[in-house]
Amino acid sequence: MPDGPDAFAFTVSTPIKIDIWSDIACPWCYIGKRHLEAGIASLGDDAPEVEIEYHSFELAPDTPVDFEGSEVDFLAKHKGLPAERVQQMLQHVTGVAANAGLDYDFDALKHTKTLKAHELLHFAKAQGRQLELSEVLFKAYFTDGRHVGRVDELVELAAEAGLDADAAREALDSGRYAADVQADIAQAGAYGINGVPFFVFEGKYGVSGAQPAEVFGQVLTQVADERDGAAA
Amino acid sequence: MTTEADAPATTPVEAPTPAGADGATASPFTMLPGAAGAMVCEGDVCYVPGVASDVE
Repeated sequence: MPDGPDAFAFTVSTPIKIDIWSDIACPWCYIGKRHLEAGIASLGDDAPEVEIEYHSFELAPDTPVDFEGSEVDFLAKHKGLPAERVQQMLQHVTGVAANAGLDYDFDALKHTKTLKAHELLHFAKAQGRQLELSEVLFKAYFTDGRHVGRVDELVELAAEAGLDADAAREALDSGRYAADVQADIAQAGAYGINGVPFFVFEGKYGVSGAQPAEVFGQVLTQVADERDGAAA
Repeated sequence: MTTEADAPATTPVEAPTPAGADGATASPFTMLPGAAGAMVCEGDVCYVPGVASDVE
């Protein structure tokens, strides 16, 4: 450990920035979130400090706020696949989610447009509670069968994430963060991001998809080692 | 644990073009390969880039 004035530079490091493009309605984004968290945890005491920021990506902009029907109905219609095949697909992703410790309930899921949820995520970011809200929204959508497209329900979820309900409602009603959502989506397009989840480490390394936890651990170790090497 | 849910999806579908691969928009990032089989979602389709398996 160096002594003197230069010691500060060696003992205080900035967190590794992780930018994540995702959509609340993306089953693999929630799984990827869990895998990233597990990857960080797997490093134990060696885990670098990280700063995570979520960015908006709307998978299906044409989705109505209120879709009458089940997730199977929606996917069968949009994919043109037999309902039985869609059910098999949902069983598969449910199993993978379970392995990640997530309890997906596609029977209860309320398919909806996620634009307002993204606005709320930007509001939460401004309040320093984006990570808390992202977890609340993912769980509400995939596990609890709650409607994340309606303002009233979003306000309740905001409160559950520790946000001020009245301020959240005002932000949603005013559309104050709508431009930020579109800016994120446009940025994704500019970066060539066509699918989510998409992870960017330190604004330099891109990782696509719901990678296993060990991959995220390896990437973080690589980025941290590279940064430490550059600082030495 | 081996269940039906663990079985890999094998029904091929038309896989969307991975980011930057179509030449229209190149990624500014150094892409790390990661593990084979990592799913991404695009529109209503979730797939393994380059493998063309679908799961939602």
